[in-house]
Amino acid sequence: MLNLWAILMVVGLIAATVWISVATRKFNRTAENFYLAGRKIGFLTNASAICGDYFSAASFLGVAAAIYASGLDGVWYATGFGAAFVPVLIFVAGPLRRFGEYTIPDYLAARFQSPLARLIGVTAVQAIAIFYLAPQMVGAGATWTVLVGKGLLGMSPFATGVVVTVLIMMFYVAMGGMKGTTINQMIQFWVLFTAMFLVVALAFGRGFNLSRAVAELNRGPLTNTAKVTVAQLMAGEEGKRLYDQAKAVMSPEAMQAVDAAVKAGDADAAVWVVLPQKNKLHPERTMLFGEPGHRYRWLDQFSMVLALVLGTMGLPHIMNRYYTNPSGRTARWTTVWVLAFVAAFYILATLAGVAGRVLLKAFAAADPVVSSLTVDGQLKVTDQLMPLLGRILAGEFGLGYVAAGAFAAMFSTIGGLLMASAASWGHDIYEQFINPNAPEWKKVAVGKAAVVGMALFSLLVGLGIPAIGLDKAYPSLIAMMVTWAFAVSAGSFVPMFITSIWWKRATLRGTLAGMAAGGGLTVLFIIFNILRQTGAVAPDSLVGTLGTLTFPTVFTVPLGLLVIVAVSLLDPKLPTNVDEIWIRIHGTARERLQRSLQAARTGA
Amino acid sequence: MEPDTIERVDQVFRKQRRLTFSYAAVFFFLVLLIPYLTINAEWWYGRPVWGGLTLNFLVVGIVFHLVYWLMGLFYTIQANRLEDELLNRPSHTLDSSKKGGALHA
Repeated sequence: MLNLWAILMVVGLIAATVWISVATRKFNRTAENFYLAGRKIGFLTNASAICGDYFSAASFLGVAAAIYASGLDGVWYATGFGAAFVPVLIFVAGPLRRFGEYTIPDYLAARFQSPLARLIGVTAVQAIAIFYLAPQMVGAGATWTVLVGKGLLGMSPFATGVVVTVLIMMFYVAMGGMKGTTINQMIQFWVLFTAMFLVVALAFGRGFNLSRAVAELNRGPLTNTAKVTVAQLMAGEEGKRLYDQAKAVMSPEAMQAVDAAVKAGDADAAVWVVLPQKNKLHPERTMLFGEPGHRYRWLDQFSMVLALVLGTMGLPHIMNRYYTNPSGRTARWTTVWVLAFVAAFYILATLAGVAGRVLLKAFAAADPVVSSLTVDGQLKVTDQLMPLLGRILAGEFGLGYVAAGAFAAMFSTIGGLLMASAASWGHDIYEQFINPNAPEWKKVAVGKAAVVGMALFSLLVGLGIPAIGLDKAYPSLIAMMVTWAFAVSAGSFVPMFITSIWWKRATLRGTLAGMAAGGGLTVLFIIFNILRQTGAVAPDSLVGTLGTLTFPTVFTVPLGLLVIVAVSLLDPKLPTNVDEIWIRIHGTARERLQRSLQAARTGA
Repeated sequence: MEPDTIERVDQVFRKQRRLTFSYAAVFFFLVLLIPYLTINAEWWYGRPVWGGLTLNFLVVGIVFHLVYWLMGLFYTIQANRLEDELLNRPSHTLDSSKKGGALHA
């Protein structure tokens, strides 16, 4: 699918990114400017940059694809991502900014007067950053494979995508610091947002209507493609075989290829079919596109949404952005704008997912490229939905614009993660433990070195995932790994934030015990899940059974909260300067002073 | 410029905490009500009300996005106003407002 428009637009995006990074490099002479853009980012710019941070490839390509594949359960997934900024707004946005540090570990250390709290915070930040960077690398490799399809310098297309993305990110984040990264993320957000808008607007232009489309899709069972061997297809009692199920939903023309493979008699030959899906929530009902139950059983209907709405509150690359606001009030208004942008984006993604179901089937026969990627009008790989919708609705230009949107989504998220990770190494480790009296130029140099180091480490992770076969163990690895990042973030930081900001009695021991319980249990559940999926343990063993829990947040956050409260109540040792800390978190004298100084300057 | 004192900040904090946890209660009630209905109420997930859209699809796909944005907007307006009212008033007004219940936000 090598396409001139795609290459031109992606190269244009990269050129703009590099130019902005070079243009803003002079701004990064102090550590505060490098990590936090001098704390002078206004709310609209910051809201756009936060959305750039938040909308990764998983959101841009994955959410519409999830809706395309799973119908209403995919829509519920999108809603979880969207609503996640409400807890950020009401629990942490204002107080965290007002406290006025650099990073989450900084907040922990200052709130509890403890270097140990800082170290544990750094550990959790790095774990979350790696869990989040890894799927971005997989996304970079996969997107390059689909859109460019060729490797460079003897590398595979996947490895080329990972290497190119990491090199660009390393350059632009190290060069541009938070100022350059913010401007880049703002532009990248608007590229991906307008790409999503373009697709949906053009779908409406082709006569798409949401309520009519869902009614049409509900006339038959929800179906998805699957690659099976002839032996699997023909196994079982006649009338109940996969072959019979496929025949019931596939067109006679599409069945000809399946019948030809069966007649050829090679039991190991692979064949693509379309199969009706099962309803996991209400097994007695036919699985329809517009009804719940394709992805989530009853517990997952709750735990998935809790993982997303709580996990966002602890994502370091998102929360670090709140320190770049000039004040707590601006932090709140920033989040209101973020909520408006995410609401609009996920409504558009929902429309794109539904439109994809209807339009792709209609256009597949007429377009040889779409036809080669579909079976009976349905996608073999659902993550290709957005680029293909771009192509059928606006030709090569549409595909190119969506490709630029996909790379923009990856660049902006990776940029934010590298900044958060670098701030944690440079500020929390180097400046606090190794060289507290370092001059500004040295602090900035260490920050840049941390960006390069973390980028190279993520390169190894990206190349290592296919090498250890993790991509084959999980059918939707990108979505799964992003979910892990949210789960670790929720288990580690959410109980800590809620109690340390809103309960004066929270103590150091209680908080560390709660973080260890929530975060540690989450990591344990993830390890169990990996062991189960890779076949290292039997599915019916204790570890295998515990490994079925996809979203452990439903248990880990309440556990973390309980442990913090219980241990804090038993622990008499409050921080000695708890009143001073309370004034920093909830007082507004500094903001009022700034406002009156500003009013005096403007003569208001 | 009047500096923050722990007494004044504590008063602001208590009001903010009430506001925050009221909004949190409503938000999490809605977030958990949706899957509860999705599991248990056939009228919610199984009966189309507009074209092919059930109440479940309509709420999850469009209405809830508007609801949480409005919650965020109203919370911000109320939290900022509350902060202004409490911190710009003399302390005797704060005491009377405390006796009289919630401030107008």
